[in-house]
Amino acid sequence: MTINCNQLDDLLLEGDPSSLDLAARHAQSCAACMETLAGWNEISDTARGLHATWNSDLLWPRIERAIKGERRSTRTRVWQIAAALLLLAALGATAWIAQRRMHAAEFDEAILKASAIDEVEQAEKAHIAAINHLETLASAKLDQASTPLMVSYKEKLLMLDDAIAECQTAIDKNRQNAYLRTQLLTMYSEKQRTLRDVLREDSNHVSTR
Amino acid sequence: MFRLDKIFIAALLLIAAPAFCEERFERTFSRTQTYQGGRISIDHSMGAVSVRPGSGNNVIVHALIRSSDAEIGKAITVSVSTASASGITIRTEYPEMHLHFGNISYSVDLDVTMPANAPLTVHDRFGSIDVSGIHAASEIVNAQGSVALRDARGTQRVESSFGSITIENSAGDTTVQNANGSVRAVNVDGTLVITNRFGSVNVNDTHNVTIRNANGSVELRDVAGNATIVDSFDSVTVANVSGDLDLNNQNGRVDVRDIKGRAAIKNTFGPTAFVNIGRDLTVTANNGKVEGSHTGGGATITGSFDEISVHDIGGSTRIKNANGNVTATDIRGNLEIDTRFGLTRVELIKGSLDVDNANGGVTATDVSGGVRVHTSFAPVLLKTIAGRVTVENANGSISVSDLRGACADINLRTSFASIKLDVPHNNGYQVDARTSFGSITTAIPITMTSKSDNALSGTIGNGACHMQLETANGGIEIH
Repeated sequence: MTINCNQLDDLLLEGDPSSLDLAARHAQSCAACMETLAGWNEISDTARGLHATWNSDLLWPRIERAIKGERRSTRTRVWQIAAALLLLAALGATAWIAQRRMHAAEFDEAILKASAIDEVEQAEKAHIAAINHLETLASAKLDQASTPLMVSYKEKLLMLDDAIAECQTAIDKNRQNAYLRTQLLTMYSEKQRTLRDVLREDSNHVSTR
Repeated sequence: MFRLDKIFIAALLLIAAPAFCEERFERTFSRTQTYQGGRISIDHSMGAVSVRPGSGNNVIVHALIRSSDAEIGKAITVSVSTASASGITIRTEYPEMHLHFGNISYSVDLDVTMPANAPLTVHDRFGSIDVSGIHAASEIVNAQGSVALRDARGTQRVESSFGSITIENSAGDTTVQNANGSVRAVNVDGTLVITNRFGSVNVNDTHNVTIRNANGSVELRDVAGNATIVDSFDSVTVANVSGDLDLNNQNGRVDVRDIKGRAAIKNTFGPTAFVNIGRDLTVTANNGKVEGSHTGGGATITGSFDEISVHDIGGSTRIKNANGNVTATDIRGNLEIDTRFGLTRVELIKGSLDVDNANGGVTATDVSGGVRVHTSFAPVLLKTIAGRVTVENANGSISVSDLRGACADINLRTSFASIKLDVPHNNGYQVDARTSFGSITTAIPITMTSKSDNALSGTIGNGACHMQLETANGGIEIH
């Protein structure tokens, strides 16, 4: 391999035997480079002469401790990272489960679960029983509705019956729809309240609310 | 490792368990159309509808479809018509579900974003409707669901049958119709017309308003313009109307205050109260108490079978009652009272007083004009009167005292009861007093022209005015 003078410094800085050998071969044919090489070798010899060694009882144990400590801390760091990853995974799983449950709860608010339907239907049955009882008590007053107030109550009850029937028809095709069930319960409550108002009114007198 | 796998699978099963128990099918639908004019029509059922204004010219439809059965959930469709100059129609369609014996359930929530200036029609059944920020005419009709309309401009028509209706900040004429649900309207700048049947109506801060309700309370406050209310079987409360008020209620309490214009109130079978009416007041109340104060103009009050009590009336006042007491104080004008079977008490009248009573006593104090009283079977007590006094009584005593002002004629007539008269010192009268079975006594000097046990004629002072006192079976005392 042939080099030029500009590459000499690079070879000397490389410092490995093959680079130094190549530099020496080039210097044999170039006086300026021979001078540079001689200066480099002189500095190297001087530096080698300055090298000193001494025995220390403490140095090696310290290095050993440091190496062991470093190994320990590396292991701790690995554990820490693993724990963090585990925690992150746990948090992610918790968030995912919570989000999923929230989503399910939102769904259940719109479409009732079968167990909730049983409870709703029990409540509806209780309402119907109460309404039937109240209707029996109020029927005499309503049949002989003579005051404008009684006529008005009668009209309201008819309107409620129509609305309840409409809602019931919709429920027959959409049994677990929460809105329909709530609406039906609201109307049952309204009908009960109206029947109670009818019973409270003295049919011989007009209300003075 | 095997143990870990088992734990992991068990955990997964635990998490997924509810999903296996009951199916929760859910999918979303989205569609965007560029608005090209016309009306946006939404025809929906079984779920909520929400309409919001968008910043651009797009109509964006989002639907959340839920079903307890995936097959049905997939079969539910939300159709959005192609945009044209006549508008866009959005419709929700459900498959027929006869084969499932009603054990399948579903709902669809619809969110629509649209240009604010597009006219809108929304029809829904079994779900709430929430519309806000619409700046064109809209028609919102719901059956069995609530309606909320906010921040709207343009003519608005809102209807529901079994659900509440809320209107907030509507800048156009607004018509609201409900059947069995409450109506609440706040800050309506246009004309507001509300019709309801069996629910309460609550209105605040509106312009000219008409409310027709039955079997539900009405509460109206802060109206710029006139207010007309028809209601029955519940209470009506009105406050702060800058124009006139026409109110017709039946079988409910009426409470009216701070009306700048005139007020006409009709009520039956319920008490009526008023405070601070700017101009004339007319109250027709059957079988209900009437009570109130402060009117800028006169008042005409008709009642029956209950008490009427008014105070601080700024003009001529006419009160007609039957079977109820009448109390009128601080009346700045003439006062006419026609009643039966009730006590009449008046005080501080800046005008004349005319009372026509039967079977009820009359007490009048501090009247600056003449007084005419007709009654029977009850006493008449008059005090501090500044004008002519005429009393026609039967079977009831008459007492007149503290007459003031210039000389005025006194004419007191009764039967089967006494007459007592305090004559003012500085006035002169031509006296003519007679009784059938009683005595005539006088504590002031009278120049007699004739005198017997039952009759007296003479002159007090200069005799400038006439004094005629007549009774049968009762004494006459002149002091």
